[in-house]
Amino acid sequence: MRWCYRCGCSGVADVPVPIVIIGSGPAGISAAWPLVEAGLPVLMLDASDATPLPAAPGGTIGEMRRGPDRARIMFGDQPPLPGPVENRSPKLATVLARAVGAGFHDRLGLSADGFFSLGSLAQGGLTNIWGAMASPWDDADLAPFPGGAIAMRTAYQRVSARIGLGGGATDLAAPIRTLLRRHAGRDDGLDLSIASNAVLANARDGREGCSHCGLCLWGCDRRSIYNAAYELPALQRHANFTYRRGQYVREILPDGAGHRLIIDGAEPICAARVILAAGTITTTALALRRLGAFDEDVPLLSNPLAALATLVPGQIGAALPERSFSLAQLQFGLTMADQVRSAGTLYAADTLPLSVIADRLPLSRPLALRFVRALMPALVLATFFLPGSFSRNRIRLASGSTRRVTIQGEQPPETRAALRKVGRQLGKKLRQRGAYALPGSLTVAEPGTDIHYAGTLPMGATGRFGCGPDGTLNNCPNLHIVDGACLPVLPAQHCTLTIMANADRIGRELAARWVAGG
Amino acid sequence: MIRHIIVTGGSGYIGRCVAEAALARGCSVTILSRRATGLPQGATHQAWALGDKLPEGSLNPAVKASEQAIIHLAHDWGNPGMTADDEGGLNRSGTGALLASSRLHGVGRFVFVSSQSARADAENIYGRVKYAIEQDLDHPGEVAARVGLVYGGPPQALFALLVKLTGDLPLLPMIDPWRDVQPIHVKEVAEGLLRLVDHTATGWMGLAMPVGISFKDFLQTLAREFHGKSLPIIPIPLGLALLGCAVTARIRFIPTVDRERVLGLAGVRALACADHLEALGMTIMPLEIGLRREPGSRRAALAEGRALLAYVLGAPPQKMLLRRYAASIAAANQGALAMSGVFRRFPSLLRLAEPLRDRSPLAQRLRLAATLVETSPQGEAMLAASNIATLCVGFVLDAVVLPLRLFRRG
Ligand SMILES: Cc1cc2nc3c(=O)[nH]c(=O)nc-3n(C[C@H](O)[C@H](O)[C@H](O)COP(=O)(O)OP(=O)(O)OC[C@H]3O[C@@H](n4cnc5c(N)ncnc54)[C@H](O)[C@@H]3O)c2cc1C
Repeated sequence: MRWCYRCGCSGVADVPVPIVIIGSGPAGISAAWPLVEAGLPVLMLDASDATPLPAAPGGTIGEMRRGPDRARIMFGDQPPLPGPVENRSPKLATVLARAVGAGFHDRLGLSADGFFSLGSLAQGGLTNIWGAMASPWDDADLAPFPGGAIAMRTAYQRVSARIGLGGGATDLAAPIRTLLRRHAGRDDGLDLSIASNAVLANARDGREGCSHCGLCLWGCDRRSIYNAAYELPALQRHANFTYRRGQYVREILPDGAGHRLIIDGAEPICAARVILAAGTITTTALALRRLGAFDEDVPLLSNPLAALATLVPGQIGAALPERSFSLAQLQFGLTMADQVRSAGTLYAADTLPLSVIADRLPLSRPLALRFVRALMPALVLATFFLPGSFSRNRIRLASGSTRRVTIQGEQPPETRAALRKVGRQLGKKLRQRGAYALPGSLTVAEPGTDIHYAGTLPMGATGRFGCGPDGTLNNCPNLHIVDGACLPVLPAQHCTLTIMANADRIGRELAARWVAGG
Repeated sequence: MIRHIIVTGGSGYIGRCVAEAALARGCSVTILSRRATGLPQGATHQAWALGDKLPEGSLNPAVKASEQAIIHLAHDWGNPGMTADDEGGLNRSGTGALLASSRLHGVGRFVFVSSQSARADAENIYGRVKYAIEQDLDHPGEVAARVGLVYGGPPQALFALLVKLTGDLPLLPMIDPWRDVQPIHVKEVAEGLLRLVDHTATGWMGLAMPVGISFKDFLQTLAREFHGKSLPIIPIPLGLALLGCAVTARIRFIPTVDRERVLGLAGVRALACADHLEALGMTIMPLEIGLRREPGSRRAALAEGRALLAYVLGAPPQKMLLRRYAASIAAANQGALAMSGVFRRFPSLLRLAEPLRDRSPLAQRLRLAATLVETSPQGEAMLAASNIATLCVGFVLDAVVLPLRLFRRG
């Protein structure tokens, strides 16, 4: 099949592109597969430019620790600056994270107040730096989805089979092993299990199995950690799939029954159908613009997040390991007496910079460094979430020529209190399993730090800000929202696998309709 | 458009910088001075002394006379002039000779470098002489540049003296420390003079930071940025200062402070130059920023790094660590902190001073030092070797100094 990409083009047939997918992150890629496999012509656009992301260092954490390149790997060509202690995940302090997030705020015109906002214009989006925690949601949480849990279960299976789950946390750090051993047989509301990561244990699709090099934070040179960009070559082997980078979509205008995409520095593209997967924040901004919804607050869900540092005393002073795994090693769920469900992950600290802990200790610097170095092999760090219903953030698109996007974050006192309560409970239960919380280490993070942004245009909502079962934005036929923006709920869980499953479900539905001639 | 520039005093503090800047923008340059030493590469030289007329060979035959300019900086300090009746002495007569031959040759532009202190009734001779010479520039194409307090570049002239004083003295007695000065970086002076060469202004134009800062702030900033120290200033009456000059002139082995200079500084009045700068399309950078581009500022950051890193490491830091420290400070657009010299000599005493507040500048620098130590091979070796004994000693020391650190908190 041939078509004309640009409107007004006098070339072949002057028909709009049948399907344009905006975004090559996990949502866009997952929506693409069923459509491409069904033979539909698909054009995928993303905003990435041709500059490659910083290369993964290679080697092992032990080699990096001793080697001369450590500062270069950690800081790149931007030296560390003197400044206040930052309350941010060490994952976001890397050269890679800076490159992956580069340009996002400026291009969109985004400013956030009391909210940690991050997005990506890269190929593969935020999966270039994600933590790869991937487990399906519970049936109860899937109930509001079109087709309910049943439809989502099959979608989960397809996506999981495609990306590969379950490698990574196969060789646990010593304090985590202790914790798990002492967990066995307990039934006190804390369920603890090996983390389900989108990390390969064995080679496949041109990727290698995880070698526990411990350098996850700085980029996986074996490509064991899933990244949506890895799927592009396979998609491109299909003749009906076209991918174009460097296409920053500024606006989606109505154009007959279809759409006209206004693109920075390029010709507009006409599309019969648009699948919007630019990441929740950008997708929301583009949808609000299409709806003409200026200066209106739209609720933005995120998972309120807190962190706790605990210590397994037997490991204090042990040597730091040569190899490790720096993504989550265990996952847990905790149901509180008031039925609030929290979930989280446990990490070993043996690959982290000492400053993560040392900067917070009221000791002198020489002592703090040496002391934390002795603690690191014994530390277990927990991060945990509350459901999105505990969040109170708002996103809005300003009218006027600036069209700025603003996010106003808010952490209501009840939410802080609930996080602290969970933290105390967790501390108690971990203590019973041999891990002792460090006094004063319970830290409530700024809203948005979870980077689980969702629910601005929920499926099933009937007002202006919502979409239908196939992600169609209300009152905008043939414009489908398939990323976090369309999630109807946000339980205390990692959301990306669910975003992918939902995008797959929508893609499959559209493909089926096309095959049926609809 | 001027294409050839003749600089008198071209091997001096400002002159050399002007000549280099002129060469950099593609002009040919001839330097007039007694000796051909210390000339910038690419400039030609003509022997000349104040009082001589313009040497034949100093003009560029390939360029029309109207496209050539003279920037006249030479000043004879040994022969100040302006006693009761010499009307400006050699400085004035010499400038006159140069000016006359410049007019004769039809040279396009004559820029005379004057001073902020130029005034008919200036306290110092220098100011009165400069003023008198300014009055002689009455042809089109002739202009004077009144230059503020020049700093930066390889320390020379008054700047060298101030760098030395702020470095050597534990505290600085000063006449009227709140009087404003208007600093300008030597590179900005050079840039301004070259712009003036291509400009048509006559009379005088000011080259200085348009809004002054107190001389006290100037010196304290210099002390911090170049020497990493705080410099208490003690105000003294002018009479006492002049007495001091007389004394230093008699005692050897201490820096002499020149009476002329003291009077020059004491007599400075505000130089209204905002309009001039605008006409020349120039903005003057803040003193701090200007100083941070200087090697002196980097040396101060290195000295600070040496102390802080040695404190964290418990041993002298290797070169690479020091370089990283200085690079971080520069990347943050910051300079050295004002810190007591005791800590540079005995870094372990920083334990007494390390603030508990994490936002204080010293706390931020110490965290930076810790981060750099942690990510260096030297630091890794130190950390891998530390054991229970080093930790115990550390805790005891921390406990001992805690009351002091708590006290410093306020
Ligand atoms: C440090 C970190 C850790 C994380 N850990 C986890 C985890 O453990 N588990 C989990 O489930 N989730 C995690 N997440 C969240 C996860 O990364 C996101 O949920 C997921 O990437 C969202 O996918 P997406 O496809 O919607 O958007 P993105 O991944 O943001 O991709 C957006 C795509 O859209 C393109 N794009 C953007 N704007 C435009 C435009 N205007 N025009 C054209 N194209 C555009 C971009 O180029 C990109 O290809 C983590 C995130 C971070 C940052």
